[in-house]
Amino acid sequence: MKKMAASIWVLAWVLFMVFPMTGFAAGDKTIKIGFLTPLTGPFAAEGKKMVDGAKFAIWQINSTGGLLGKEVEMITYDVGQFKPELIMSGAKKLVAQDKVALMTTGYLGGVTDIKTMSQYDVPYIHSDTSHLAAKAVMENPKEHQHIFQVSPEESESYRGGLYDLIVNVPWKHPNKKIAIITMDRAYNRIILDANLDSLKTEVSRVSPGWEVVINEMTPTGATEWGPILSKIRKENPSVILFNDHVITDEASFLKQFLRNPTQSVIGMIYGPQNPDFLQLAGSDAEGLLWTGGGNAVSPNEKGKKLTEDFKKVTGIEPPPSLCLLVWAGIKLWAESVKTVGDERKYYEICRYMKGRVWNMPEIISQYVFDQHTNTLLVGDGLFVQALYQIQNGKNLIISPKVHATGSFKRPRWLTK
Amino acid sequence: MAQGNAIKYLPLGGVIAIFLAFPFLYTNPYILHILILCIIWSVVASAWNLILGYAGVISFGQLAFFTLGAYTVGMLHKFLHISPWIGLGLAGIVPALVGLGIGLVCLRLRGIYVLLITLSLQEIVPVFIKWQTQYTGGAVGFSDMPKLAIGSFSYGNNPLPFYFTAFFMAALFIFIIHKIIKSSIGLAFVALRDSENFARTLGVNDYKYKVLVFIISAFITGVMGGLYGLYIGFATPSLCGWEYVVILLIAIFLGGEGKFPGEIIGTFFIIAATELLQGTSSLREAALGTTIILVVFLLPGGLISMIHRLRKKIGEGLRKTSVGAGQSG
Repeated sequence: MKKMAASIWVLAWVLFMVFPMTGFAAGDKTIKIGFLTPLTGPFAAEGKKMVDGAKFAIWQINSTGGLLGKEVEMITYDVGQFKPELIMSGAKKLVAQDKVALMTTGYLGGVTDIKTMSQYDVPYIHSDTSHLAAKAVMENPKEHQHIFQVSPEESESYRGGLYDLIVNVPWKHPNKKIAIITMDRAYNRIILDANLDSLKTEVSRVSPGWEVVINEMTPTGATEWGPILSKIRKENPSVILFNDHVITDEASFLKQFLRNPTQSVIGMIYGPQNPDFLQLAGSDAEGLLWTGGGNAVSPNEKGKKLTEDFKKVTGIEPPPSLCLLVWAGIKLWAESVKTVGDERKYYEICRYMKGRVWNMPEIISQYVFDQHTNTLLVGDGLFVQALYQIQNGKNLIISPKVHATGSFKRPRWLTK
Repeated sequence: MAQGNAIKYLPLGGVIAIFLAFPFLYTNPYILHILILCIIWSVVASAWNLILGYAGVISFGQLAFFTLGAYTVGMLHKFLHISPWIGLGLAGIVPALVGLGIGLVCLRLRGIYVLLITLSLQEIVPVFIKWQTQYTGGAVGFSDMPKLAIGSFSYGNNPLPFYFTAFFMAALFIFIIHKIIKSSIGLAFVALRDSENFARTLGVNDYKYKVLVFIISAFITGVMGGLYGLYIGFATPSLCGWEYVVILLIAIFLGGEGKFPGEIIGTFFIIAATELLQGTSSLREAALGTTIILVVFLLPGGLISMIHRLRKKIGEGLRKTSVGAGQSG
């Protein structure tokens, strides 16, 4: 009898699990946006910031009367560590079942998501920052005309990592040795290759003789840096490029490095834009350099208003990179829908989005899509890729000079 | 007697009928997609349970076999233009050969040593894939998967033909696994698991049987890996990741370790629950964790033991009713 009762309890729980409240879907009076994002696993912190960007964009749309007279709502789908089947499940659920009018994300890797979304015609806006995503559109424009990358390719975005640390940082490097630590993911491998290529070309034209003395691959979610730091302490490179954007990896590396620092400038890729990084690293983050997509807020009135509203909706100041990439993607889609007048006229919406120069005075970048790849063009007056330094808990732009909000300060671990 | 057999096979027939009718009654491609994943992973869990639950070999190489299967079918088509149907067969043979090699070496060992060797296979396969970038696509993954077709009918991105292909393949493999469990090999495993020394004194050669089952399990897992690759259209070294291992282990223990077809029920439950609780993010993980704790404490035999108990109760109830009816009549 006892066993029977236990069975019934478990059965009740199982039924509760398998038949949860599935009737959340709102009626036709809303326009739905499907949002694929990591909400669990090592990328969860990033994922939550992506959601903040989307939440803010939707709040802006709804607080000004909605879109075509309808309220906009977001449906999220957790893709964890970007398992291909999860991306496929998410896309099927959001497009086929929830009938969303836009699919969007911060990043999902730029391969599986593109392959999956090519099966549908719903606009898909991502900031994968992926060469492979751009290549897919270029090679098969018919199948991918509805896919837009609201960031440049990683091979362009982060190509200047070593260049920045060697040329744009006004510090007399004691030697010409470089250490590179790369997370073993396709995205970071491409960034590594781009930097190595840039070292042979752009860097060596300006400052020849640099040599990579440490080139290490690490798994996602690494927190023990002892063996790599031993090598760094032995070689004493003047430049360390930390090519791993998971904030726990970045913060743990920095903390362990500072226990016995070498005379090296450290450059990371965009992880420190996440306010959670500053919380994790604390005062150890002071002086750290990092490169990120230049969606920083403009120092004008519109920029101030954006910061104020963003804080009201999310409780934090807008981080300068990923969060606002998501915001901008939704914003330009909404503008296109307004112009076309029907959220289901996908082809017209995409054609409009592709053909325009998107000037958003709230941020420092201007969006122009490459007509062959549907990917943002990077450069002066276009999408700005910036070098930041953390000073007094704030992210200041050091380079390019035209957008600079501060100047380089020697980190405290550099004695001269 | 014939009536008894009919009653015995009634639940199985019902399940098969539901599976066959489902896509015609419910055409939502998302639900079909989830069912395809459930079917594929449940066979993998079953093949793993054969080694883990019945043969008692603590092997962690299953996802390596699965990954090898997915890459085999894609690469054979890309580089040798081999039809994906033949590729599916070879997707089983390649992991089976690897399984044979590993099995011959490690199945004479016990416990932790087998675990370590199979774990290293799980680590070596993704490293090898990333190293052979020109063939495998490296860390980015392999996306040149062929499309399945029967004659001039291409599966394309339509989940319906994939659903039936997965279903029939699963039915075949689950039948084979069931036959093994019920055969003298299965009995030998149960004997070895429950009383190893006694079984040996009766002349049970565990090494031979373990190697054989290791190969069969690798073959089945490889074929399902191939089908998975063809369906998803993509293979990546992350298929060897711990995320999948954990889900499969949970499915096996939740359903009932060494209690066929518990692992199938466990897999369906875990995949369906993970999907249906989407949008609740961390709450989902807490709910799944709670389920596992509940099952461990209240149902140590897994979900399958609950079904057995319910079936027994219903059977007893029916018998009482028929006896009562006989007496009153």
